[in-house]
Amino acid sequence: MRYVVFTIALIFITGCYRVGHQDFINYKNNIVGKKIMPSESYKYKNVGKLIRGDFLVGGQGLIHITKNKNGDFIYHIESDEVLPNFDKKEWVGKCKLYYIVDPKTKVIKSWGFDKGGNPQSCRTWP
Amino acid sequence: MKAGMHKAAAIKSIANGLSRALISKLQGGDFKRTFLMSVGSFALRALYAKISIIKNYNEDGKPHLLVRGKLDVGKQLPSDYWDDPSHFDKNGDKIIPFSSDQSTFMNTVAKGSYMDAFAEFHDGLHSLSFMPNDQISLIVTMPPSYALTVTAAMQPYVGDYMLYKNLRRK
Repeated sequence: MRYVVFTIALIFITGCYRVGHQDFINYKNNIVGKKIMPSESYKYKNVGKLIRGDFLVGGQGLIHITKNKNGDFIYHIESDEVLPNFDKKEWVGKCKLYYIVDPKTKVIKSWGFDKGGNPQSCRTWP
Repeated sequence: MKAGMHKAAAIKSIANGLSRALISKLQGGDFKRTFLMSVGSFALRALYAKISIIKNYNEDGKPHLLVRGKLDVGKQLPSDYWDDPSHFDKNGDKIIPFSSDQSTFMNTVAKGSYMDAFAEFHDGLHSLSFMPNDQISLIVTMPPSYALTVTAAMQPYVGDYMLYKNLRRK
């Protein structure tokens, strides 16, 4: 009985405790099909401040909005930045994203990693 | 400079262990056991300090009993997490995930003895370049990290503990 409870607890903890780049992608995929929250330029709460140890800086928020060939809005987002003093060098850089938004309904049609950023810096942290 | 500091710490640890072991022996206790406990806990405390301070998770490298500074237990979400409207309820309040460091559950867990200090060590450990960051590794390293944190915190009391044991034996 003890082992059954332990196994269930372990599965439960493992299921809840998902972190990293893939976790980021998973929850970002959920945003597709939903109406974008702010329609104007916005900034995150901790812009430029250290938000984890001495290596993670809070992102800017919505930088600017452009239009693509189809007339859709492209929202360019700058999320958190991993500073070069971090040991895992492949994660260093800015997390830059874009949302492709329907101009009429403001529904997010798709999202992706923007140019000039490092997708690996986009992650949840343990 | 660093090598010199390590050498000095090792000498201090051994000297500390020898003096504690000698006192224990005079009290009728076990010399070898006291020496190993003393040196071992000293080494673990040094390791705790070294790892937890790496990325400034812990300011002074000391294992603390209660939460200090930023809460480190639970998953830290990126700033853009709140771009998703489904992460808010009808009143516009945030729906905080169970595993997040902002959740009530993780806030309660963090209030446990040495939990915040353990999380600082654990975060520091997984910031090292050679450490994997997959889900299983993060969970597997939790129990030994907690044990190490508590042992490191007990280091100053090894002498008192052995004195208690020796007096109890009599």
